Amino acid sequence: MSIMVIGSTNNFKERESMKGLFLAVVLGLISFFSFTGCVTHSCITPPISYVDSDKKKIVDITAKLDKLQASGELKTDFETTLKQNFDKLNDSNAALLLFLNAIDCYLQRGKVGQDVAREMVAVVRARWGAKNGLAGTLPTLTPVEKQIIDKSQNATAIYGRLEEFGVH
Amino acid sequence: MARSAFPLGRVPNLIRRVRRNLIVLLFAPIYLIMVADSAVGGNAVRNPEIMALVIGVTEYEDGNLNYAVPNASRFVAAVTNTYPGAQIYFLPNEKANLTNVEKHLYEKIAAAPPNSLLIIYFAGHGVRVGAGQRLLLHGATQLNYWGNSLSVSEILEAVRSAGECTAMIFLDCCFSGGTPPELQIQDANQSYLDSRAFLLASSYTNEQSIGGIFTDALLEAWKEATNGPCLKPLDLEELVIKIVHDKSDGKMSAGLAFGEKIRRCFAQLNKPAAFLLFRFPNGCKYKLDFFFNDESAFEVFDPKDRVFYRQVPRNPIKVRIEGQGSNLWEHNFSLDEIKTNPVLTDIILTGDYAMATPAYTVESKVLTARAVEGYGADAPAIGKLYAEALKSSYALTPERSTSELVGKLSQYGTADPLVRVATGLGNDSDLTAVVAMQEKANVVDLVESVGKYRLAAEICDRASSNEQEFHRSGQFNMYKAALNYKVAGDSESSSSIIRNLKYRNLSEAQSKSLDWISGTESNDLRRSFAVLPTSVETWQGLGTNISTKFVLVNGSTITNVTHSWTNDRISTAEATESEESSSWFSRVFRW
Repeated sequence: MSIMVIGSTNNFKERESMKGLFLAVVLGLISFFSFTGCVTHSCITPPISYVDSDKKKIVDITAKLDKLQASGELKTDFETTLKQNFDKLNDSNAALLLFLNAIDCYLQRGKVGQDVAREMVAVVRARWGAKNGLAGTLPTLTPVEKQIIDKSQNATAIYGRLEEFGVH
Repeated sequence: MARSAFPLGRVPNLIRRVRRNLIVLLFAPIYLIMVADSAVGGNAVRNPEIMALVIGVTEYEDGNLNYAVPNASRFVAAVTNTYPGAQIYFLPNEKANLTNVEKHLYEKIAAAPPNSLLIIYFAGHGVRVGAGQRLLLHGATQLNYWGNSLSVSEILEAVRSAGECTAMIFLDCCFSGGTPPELQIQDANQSYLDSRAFLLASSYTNEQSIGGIFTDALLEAWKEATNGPCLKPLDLEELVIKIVHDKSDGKMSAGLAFGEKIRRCFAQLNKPAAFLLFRFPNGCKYKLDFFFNDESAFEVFDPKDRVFYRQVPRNPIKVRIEGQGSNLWEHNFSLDEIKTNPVLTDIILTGDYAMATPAYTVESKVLTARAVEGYGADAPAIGKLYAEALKSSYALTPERSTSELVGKLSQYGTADPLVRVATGLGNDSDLTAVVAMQEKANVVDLVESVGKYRLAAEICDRASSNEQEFHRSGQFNMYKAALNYKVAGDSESSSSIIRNLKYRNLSEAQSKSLDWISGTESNDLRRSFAVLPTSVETWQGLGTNISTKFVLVNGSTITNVTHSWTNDRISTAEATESEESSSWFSRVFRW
């Protein structure tokens, strides 16, 4: 077996250090983007769904909501996305939780403030209410709404999320 | 000479006849148009109509309510089947914008001719706004609805404007029900709408409405009401409540916000109605049960309500009143008796049931005027009732504020020159009419009692120079003029008259009373009004210990007070119940 030696021993050491440098830079960049939040992984937790037809849609919608983080008109774009996608999911409770989780993500990442977040929650609730045939909502959860939420596997998560936004 | 075919001698006559006929022919169409016009839109009476305003909004920015417009369409079909020939204004989605809805409310509903049947239906979103609620129209969202929403009050205002019309209002939306205060129906104008309108709402004031359940229930009950025995709005409510409760698992409490006072079959609300109102001039101490054709009126009459009213079919009807199990009063109203609205009946209760107090009498008249106003009648009829209430208030409860009543008279007017003058609404011709009236004694008293002292002074001043016209002693008129000028703050005019009066043949007591008037401040004089001479007799008899009887009014307690004159001082009231009551005086008038 012949070993092909490329260059001198000194050149090999140089190449090895170049490789190491390259690797360090890459790792450094990854770390940098991780720490600065410019990471591309989502903070929106998709809800559990036992409706097969909803599963893929949840993934798609989550991705759309995720992309909105880069939007300069987040609230407006969020409402547009809500309007276009909420009714696509058969499970309205899953849809509710998904959009609430998105708002939470935006809030955590400083994309929106508390007041705007609460307005967005109200808009989501209104849409959820309409989908369930409710001809109006109150600032607090009504018995009818609780009854609808209680039917969902995501009930605990939904209540928790709403509680965080001051809806009891 | 052969006779011409056209006799020349007759030409002028012919021309005149042709000209005359031509004029008639030319102007006849105009005359006919004028007659036709007056028959259609002028002063002639318009025929009653059946009108339905049906609003349904499915398309909302923040989430469609899928059932709303389809349900509204089903409602339209029900109305059409029950009332063929009804004029239906169906406003779905984009047609249900605020401009269009208001246009229909104010140009159609509010302008309906008397005795029409008005039907209003809404299906869509509702929101709570503070103490009230709003119906969201097309273009509104649940967060942004100002400019795209309607309050229940606005609907009721349109119904109120359509006087003497019966109205049914159905609201299928969240938070649509409640008591009148919760619906912000507190205005006196709207609060008497229950005499001719009812509102059936899908859920209570803090409840959501779900999935169009209410309209489903309503249409089911509607079918029963139109095909079965007579169901009144109250019966309709009972049916709807049950169905809604069952279908919503008890989550929705549908119900009537008001309208229990309509005692007519739901399916025949388009037929002529009669408005019966009962009042008790002698007062009423206990609760009463009313029966119409031996059927209970459901609601017991509470004396604190003062008047009892119902809308009934315009057919002969027997009304019976029971109190504590006994028959107190009964009458068979013939068709002639209930032909025109309102039908006011005074029931004189005696014995243990009577409890006449000035306050009760006045309130009874005020509430009568309000109830008739709420039901709707022509302006002069309403004005006349308010004028009666005002006169009664002046006479019997002078401490009561009359600003509301005067305001109503400004709105409706009154032909009564006495009231017009007393309330400052009159003009010179009213004053002339008042001066020429037979019951002269009441004129100045009435004007004084409403604080128009300057006007009273001017009337007396004028009358004193025309003793014949006023049928009173000129001296007495001068004294009254001096007194009223002083009370009005015009010391100069008062002093001038007193100087003049002292040249006449006055008794010592009369002269001293004038000195007293001169030397007393206006406010003190005002308080002493009731104890000063109020008639020619008491003026002429001043100084001879004439007793004047007054009735002291303090709430519902009446005490007779006898007051005596002495030569050199005016004594105060004798009988007192409390420190406050001793300062109040009243005179009982007979109108």
